[in-house]
Amino acid sequence: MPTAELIVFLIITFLTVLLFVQAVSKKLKFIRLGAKENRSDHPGKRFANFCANVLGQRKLLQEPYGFIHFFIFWGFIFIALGEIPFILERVFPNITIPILGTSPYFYLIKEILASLVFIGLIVGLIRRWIIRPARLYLSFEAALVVILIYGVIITEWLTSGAKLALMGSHPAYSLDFIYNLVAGFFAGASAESLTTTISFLWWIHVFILYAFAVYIPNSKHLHILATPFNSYFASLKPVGGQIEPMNLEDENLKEYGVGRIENFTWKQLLDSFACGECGRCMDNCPANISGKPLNPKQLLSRTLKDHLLEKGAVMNKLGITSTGEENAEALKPYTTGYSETGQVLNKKLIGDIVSREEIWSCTTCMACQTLCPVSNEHVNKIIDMRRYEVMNENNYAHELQLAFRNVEAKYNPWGVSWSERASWAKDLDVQTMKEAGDQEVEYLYWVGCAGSFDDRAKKVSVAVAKILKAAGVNFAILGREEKCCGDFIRRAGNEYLFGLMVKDNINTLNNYKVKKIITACPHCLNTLKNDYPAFGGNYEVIHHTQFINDLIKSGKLTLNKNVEMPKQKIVYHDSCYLGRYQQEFEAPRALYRMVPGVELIEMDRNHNKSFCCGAGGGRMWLEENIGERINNMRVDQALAKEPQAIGANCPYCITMLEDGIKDRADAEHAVPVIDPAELIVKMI
Amino acid sequence: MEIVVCIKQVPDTTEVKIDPVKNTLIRDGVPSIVNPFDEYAMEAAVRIKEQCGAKITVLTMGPPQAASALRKCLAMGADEAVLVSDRAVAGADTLATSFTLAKAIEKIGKPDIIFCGKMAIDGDTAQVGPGIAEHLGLPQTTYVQKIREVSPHRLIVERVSDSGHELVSIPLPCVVTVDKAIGEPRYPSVKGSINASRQEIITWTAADIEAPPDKTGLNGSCTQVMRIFTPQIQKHNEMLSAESDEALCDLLLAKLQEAKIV
Repeated sequence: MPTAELIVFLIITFLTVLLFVQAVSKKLKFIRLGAKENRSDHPGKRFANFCANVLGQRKLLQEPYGFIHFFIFWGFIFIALGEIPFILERVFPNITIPILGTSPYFYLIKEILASLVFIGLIVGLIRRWIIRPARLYLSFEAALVVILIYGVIITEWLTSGAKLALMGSHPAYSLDFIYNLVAGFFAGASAESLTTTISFLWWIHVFILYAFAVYIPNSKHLHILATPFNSYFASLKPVGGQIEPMNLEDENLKEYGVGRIENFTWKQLLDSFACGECGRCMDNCPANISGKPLNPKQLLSRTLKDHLLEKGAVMNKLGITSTGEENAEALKPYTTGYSETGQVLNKKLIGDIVSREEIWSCTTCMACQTLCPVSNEHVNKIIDMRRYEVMNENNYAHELQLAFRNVEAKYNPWGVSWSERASWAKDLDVQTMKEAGDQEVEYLYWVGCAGSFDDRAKKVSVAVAKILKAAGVNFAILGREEKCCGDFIRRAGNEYLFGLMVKDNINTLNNYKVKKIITACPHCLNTLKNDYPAFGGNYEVIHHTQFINDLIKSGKLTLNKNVEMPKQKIVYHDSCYLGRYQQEFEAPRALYRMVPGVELIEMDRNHNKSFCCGAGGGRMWLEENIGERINNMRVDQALAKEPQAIGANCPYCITMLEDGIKDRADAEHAVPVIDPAELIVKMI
Repeated sequence: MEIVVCIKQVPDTTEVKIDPVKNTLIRDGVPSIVNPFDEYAMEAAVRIKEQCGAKITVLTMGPPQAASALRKCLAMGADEAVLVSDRAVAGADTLATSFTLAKAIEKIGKPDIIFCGKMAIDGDTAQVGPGIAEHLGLPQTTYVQKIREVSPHRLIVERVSDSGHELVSIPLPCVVTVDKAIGEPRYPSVKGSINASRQEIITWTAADIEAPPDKTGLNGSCTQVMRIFTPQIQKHNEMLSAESDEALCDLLLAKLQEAKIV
């Protein structure tokens, strides 16, 4: 390369690197404003996650169009590798780059992938501009990046093709069908004109490539850089156990929850940059679909990110290095008086940026997180903001306060006298742990508040107890000593009251040396299994549908298959807390299939894409005033399959679906909602 | 303004069941709560604090566990909590209790208003509030339903009596016992509850408040409980129904005449 050209090349390369590093470090500075959180433990597991989710594109491949991203991703990697010989061979004509510059197979693979990227982007464009699914935003950013990528690919093909035409043949390019194709077009051109063309195209290519490199960290396409890290640092905890306990004993803790963007942890902030705006979350979010203001994609990729960019810029300019743990007082010197920066700093995260309706719309159904291909954690952010509203601001719905009050006074959200907790079992001869005394009890049957106090759920409790007795299971209940597990309390942001319940329950459970717990409530199940360990409660917790399957498999429970049962089509509803949370989809289905006359059918939204009943995350106790009722929508989805019954496995779901049926179906189309235990009990 | 609110920790009587065999109250596992009427007294005090500023000291006499009742009041808005806890004051009747509380109030200072609930739900005596007033030689007004006016030297309140409602003007300092109509007690904020759980409870013994042994506890009591039992309630209900109101009246009249009531 001539010296003059080399100087120009080095200058623009230096500038590109400089601009790239500047942009990245600016974003890093924003992320570092967040609170501390250790996400570096278990590097092996993290690397495995990285391999599966980034290199293997696991979650993307679960959707019809996902394979396109797979090819674009791997195409990018190979195109990037191809840039190394492409640039270096011109700058240093005398060096040979091993493999990348010599292997015909490398060029073959690169070209196959690059062609797929080429086609994939066309499909992407068609989807965005012609099919236009609601979940994809039309934006200038999306168009620009496609233009840049095409620019990179096409100029590379043209340059290398011309180069091949000039050289006549090149061992490394022998299998490169595109280079050979392009070389064919250039056949007959003079060496001189080819040299000029190559030089011209090479420079165009380099400019587009560098523009792309600078553009990435300054746009939403920072996703490309942030996602690998986000995947590596993703939570290793089960999806139902990711809520961080708060140290309420800490007297320095003056602000509870997250009421300022920088109070999120750095990982929570990184999420926003990792978002590729694919919209899988919003497509499966019951709040979003039912017309509520919460849109998980908008929240992460726009609302929170834009606010971080704005406030972070001001904070960095003023040199405020909040670690997220400091008091709002610390910001006072900058926010008094009228100033633009003061105005930005004074914006309230909740109220000015995120609306209260947004944070209270979430049912914690986990559809967003389960389907998110970049390992974002949406639900924790919402719970953190709820914590701020409940614990710090005392600003939350009256009906939720009533539920809290009931738990405080009666240990259950229904507000029924706690001494009535075991009344459902009074005719069943079920012993309590207290009555069992010194006798060895193998299983604790955790009944839960719904199973103890809700008339509908009590019927399931009775069925479960009868099945356990028929199978000769050595079990007991806690009776009056059982208290609300705290599931909804925690997810509604009241960590203080949750702590009181957990402490009492763990004391009781550990006092009786409980090891194994059976429960019919997926919410209790998740809380006992995934929330309690952080507080010193470690139990093996199993859902009744799983346990009944085990009983049948091990021969402890034999079913009478000759029992007269009605012929019926049952459409099955996966509860969020058993399905997505525990990844248990089969156990309840297996039980329905064992019942004579039952034909089990599926709704369109099932398994990981199941649609919430609307009751999770404290929503059971909140009025649903905005948009359509989620339970009614789910009932519509179920009734569309013309079933004779709806199958469900969670007391909340059963209540919500039955309410929905009352609302939606006339007497003729009304169908019952049945827990599998209620059918199995008829066969013992 | 200085306010003292006297409270009592009581078993949650809505949860107390009767042992059908022994005919006694089953208190096993029954949670302790702040006497509901005392929560209304707290609410009255907090409202005055919000309206014109005041320092609220919440006071109780009881075992160490009673601290949890005091914490609830701190969460509701009390500034300080005092627990008089001593074996010497145990077993007190209303006379000895009001004497002990009066001594504690003297040690607290010279409050402008002393609030009590109209009565405790476990004893239903409604005597401790008035007793405190007598021991301290202060004017008192009971069964107050509304505080109309608070001025530095006087309260104007509405109270209910057998003959109807009374409007009472009472000079400060005074003792006021309140009824439920005073206003629904607030649910403490979570922050308030957390702060209250960290706050220190001032604990005094009988000696601290200079209460002589012969006037406190069992020794200072002029009444003693001999036996607690559940009265047999015999209800004979009969539902009457008839086609018209007139016929119903006639039927009722006949029944009453039959029972020799009219």
